[in-house]
Amino acid sequence: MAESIKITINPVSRVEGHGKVVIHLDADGEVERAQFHVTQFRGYERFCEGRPFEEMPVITQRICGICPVSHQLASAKACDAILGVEIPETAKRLRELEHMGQFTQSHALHFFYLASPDLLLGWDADPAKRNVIGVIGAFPDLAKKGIRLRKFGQNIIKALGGKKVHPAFAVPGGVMNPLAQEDRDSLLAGFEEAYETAQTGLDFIKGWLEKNLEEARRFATYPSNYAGLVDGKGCPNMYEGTFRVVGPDRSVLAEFDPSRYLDFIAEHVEPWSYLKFPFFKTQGYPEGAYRVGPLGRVNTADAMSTPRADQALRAYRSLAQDGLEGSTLMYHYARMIELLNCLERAEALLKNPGICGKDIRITADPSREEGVGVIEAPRGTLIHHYKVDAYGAIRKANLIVATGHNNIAMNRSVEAVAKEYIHHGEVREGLLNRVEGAIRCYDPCLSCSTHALGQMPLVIRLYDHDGVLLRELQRA
Amino acid sequence: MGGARIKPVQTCIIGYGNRYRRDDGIGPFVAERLRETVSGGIRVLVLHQLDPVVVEEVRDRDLAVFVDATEEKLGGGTQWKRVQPEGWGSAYTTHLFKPSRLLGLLYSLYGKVPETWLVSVQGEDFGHGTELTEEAQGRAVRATREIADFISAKTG
Repeated sequence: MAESIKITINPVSRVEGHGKVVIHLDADGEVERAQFHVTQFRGYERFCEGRPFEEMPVITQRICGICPVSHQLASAKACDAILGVEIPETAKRLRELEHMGQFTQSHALHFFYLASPDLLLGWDADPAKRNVIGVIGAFPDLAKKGIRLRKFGQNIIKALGGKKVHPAFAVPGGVMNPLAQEDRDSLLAGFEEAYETAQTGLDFIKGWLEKNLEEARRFATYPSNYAGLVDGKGCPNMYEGTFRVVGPDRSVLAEFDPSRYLDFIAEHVEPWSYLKFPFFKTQGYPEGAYRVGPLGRVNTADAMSTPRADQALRAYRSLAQDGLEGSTLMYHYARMIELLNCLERAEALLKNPGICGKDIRITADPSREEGVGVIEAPRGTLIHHYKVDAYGAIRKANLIVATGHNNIAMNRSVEAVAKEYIHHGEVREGLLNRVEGAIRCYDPCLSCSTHALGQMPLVIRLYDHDGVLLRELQRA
Repeated sequence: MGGARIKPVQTCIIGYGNRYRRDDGIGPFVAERLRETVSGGIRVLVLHQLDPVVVEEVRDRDLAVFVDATEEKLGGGTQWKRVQPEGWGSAYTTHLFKPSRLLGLLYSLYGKVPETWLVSVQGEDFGHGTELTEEAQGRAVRATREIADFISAKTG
């Protein structure tokens, strides 16, 4: 090999939205660098400008069809800060409950619909069958459980916000309506089955990793920082807490009030992607990369806040010590621990005697020109930061979403897989599936509007350094 | 509108479509009106789009009626079609999840499907907006009556 070549994987399927992967090879045919391109442009920050800040929870939740609740809540928290109010306890519990419903449906969607085809049917199974429909054919009972668990999460959201997607619930100062007693009772009846399904998912992924230990050890494994919100006991908290950044050995590098995120996090821009690259300022770019989401939260945690999830965390730590620290596949395991955690939190919140209380909103005039709302979305830390004028109109909005935080990490994961599968310019069978699988571990949400089931055509294109197409590999 | 002469007691009406794209909102429009008029044992869903979770709403029903807008020119403005389960073929996105595929999924999971009908209602304008066109609204009102009569006849 005398010249460098470029490999393009486009589009990447079974992620939320559209992206493509380009792998650059050096003159020896070894992987030089990999780039995960996000080819969509949304522009939300700009068109929020000029709108009354109270509209933000409604406008910004439209960013996403999978995690609108997370955007709504981060936005409502930023608006609370502009109002300068502490919302009533009942409202806070109800917001957290809605969020637990969101986590349940989102994690169930990802694990049972999007990730399970790779794990259950095998990386190298026929792509035409390696999708949720293939899973339904081969494992109908598991598929049923996944669908029912997603519905359970959606039911929580619907009970609070009137509908499963884009609910009208969190508003500046609290929430719109209380929880009805009959809805509370009806939801409580669903936990036994939900726990059983979450445990099935947890047992499955643990068993899969144990059986495929060698591959899991090599699969996009690299040391990284991790980050997420934690409570006063060092347990992940999806609704509030301090933002903790830990190193590869889980030692705490920083822990701070998330409203001060600009003191610790900066965003790098690359000309080839519409997605920015946040990094931990102290370490600079790109060394300050960190991972958020299930793996970030679980690796940041001292413990989990609920008993079943905490027990699961101990088993996870034990397996992680077996060469899986830093394995990107551990995202799936961490996601199932969180699923249990969220179900336990949801049940505890529903059993709280005050959950059907009527004191749910404080009204006030804006008292501050700036507000930051930070929350853990299913895919990772979500930051909404607004500046308003004297009339409460948005002057500037800054949104850092989970997929942005993970941007550097996703690129590194793709590169790690590519280095495993490409040598001397030869692409080993299975590269496409595994590159996609590595990205899918992060459950990236690129537009939140497309729910692909895995039969999109994939293309690898090899170019020489002059941009001339050398050959093309295409999935049938 | 033939179909087996059964006496279903459990019925589900699903109106789906995008209410922010004018006449695409015909399905939700019809379902919301039916919700106000039908009674006991009838589940009415208003959805933006179909999704695999909907199988859980339909699986215990004897009769399912889907209502959707169409760009097709239909004589009389509405069309009733008996829906049979269908496999997935080359479809890859849940945005293409149609009643026949939903039934296919339901059959794969539970081995049975309800008697299912798709009522298509012709729309005129699918641009941005929340109001139905006058023509579409007239057809939607007629479809609402037809569905109410059909269910009433089925349930005795």
